[in-house]
Amino acid sequence: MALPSFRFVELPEIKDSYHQMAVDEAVMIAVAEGKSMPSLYIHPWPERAVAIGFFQSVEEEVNVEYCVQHSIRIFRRMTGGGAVYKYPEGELNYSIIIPENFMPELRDIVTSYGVLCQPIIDALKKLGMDASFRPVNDVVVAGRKISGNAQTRKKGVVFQHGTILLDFDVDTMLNVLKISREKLKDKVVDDLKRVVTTVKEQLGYVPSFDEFSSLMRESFEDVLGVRFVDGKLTPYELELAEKLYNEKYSTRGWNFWR
Amino acid sequence: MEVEKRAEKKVAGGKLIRVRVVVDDDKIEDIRITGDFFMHPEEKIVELENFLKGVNVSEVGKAVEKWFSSTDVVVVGASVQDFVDVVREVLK
Repeated sequence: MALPSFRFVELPEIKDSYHQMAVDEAVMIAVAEGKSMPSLYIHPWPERAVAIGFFQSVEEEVNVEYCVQHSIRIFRRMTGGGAVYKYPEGELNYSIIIPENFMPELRDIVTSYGVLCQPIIDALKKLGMDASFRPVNDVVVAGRKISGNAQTRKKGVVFQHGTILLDFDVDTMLNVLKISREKLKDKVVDDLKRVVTTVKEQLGYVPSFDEFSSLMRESFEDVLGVRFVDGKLTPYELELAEKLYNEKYSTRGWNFWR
Repeated sequence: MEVEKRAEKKVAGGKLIRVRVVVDDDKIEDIRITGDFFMHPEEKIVELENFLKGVNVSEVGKAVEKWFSSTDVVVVGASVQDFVDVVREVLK
């Protein structure tokens, strides 16, 4: 029996973080409307930026002045969860867009995190890391977070994106995010290193993007029982992404709404 | 007289819920609930905040419970009780 086909998207050039957010929502809408196949894409982050969760307040989480001075973009995700400092070499990102009726395990949000994080765990294991799932939405190695993930759902479609930490710029992160500023800085750095780890720290090197990407692709195929076909964004998705970029994700109204 | 208050709660599992309120004459004039929790559908947070505006401070815990029980909102990474607790805490 032939396996169901999903699309593995080769993304167009992503101009900035707003653009990535706009593409994410555009693909989600296209899949929900039945205009595109369920999809996966894997990509580096296009720039230095701080992502804040849907429910977070910029003022409470981000040192805005520092970001402005250092050309670090501040953007809001359509998903909940926490603030993250992102930069091109720092992480590998993925998005999976899949109908919630594709597998019974996808219906319940908490259960579905376990299913959709499994390919990440498998890819990290293939590289030699002892990764495991930590509910609700983390992947850990030896109890330290190596991957954060977040989900939203619209019209019967699950959108999950996440990040695998490749390397860690603690100094910039502490300047960008308002983390326990009352604590002594050394203490904060120690605490962070105790709870977070990276691929570079675990392996002593960072595998190439292509190697990582094919391992992730294979692992998603195995966990979901699907076959990926290579594809690009459709004209409909590109047009929708442009509209969402201009009318939503690049606007102050969206990024600073709370 | 209008008074602005803030409170936050670190919930089991490590997520944070923060609340800012403006209280005028024992009634909630404005309220903002922020944090790194998950609520599905996300837009419902605005409905919750609007529902709490005008509520008497002594009734706010009950109002939060009532709102959650009247919708099919799913909260992940925190519980309904956590929202009740932090809103009560800020109005103490």
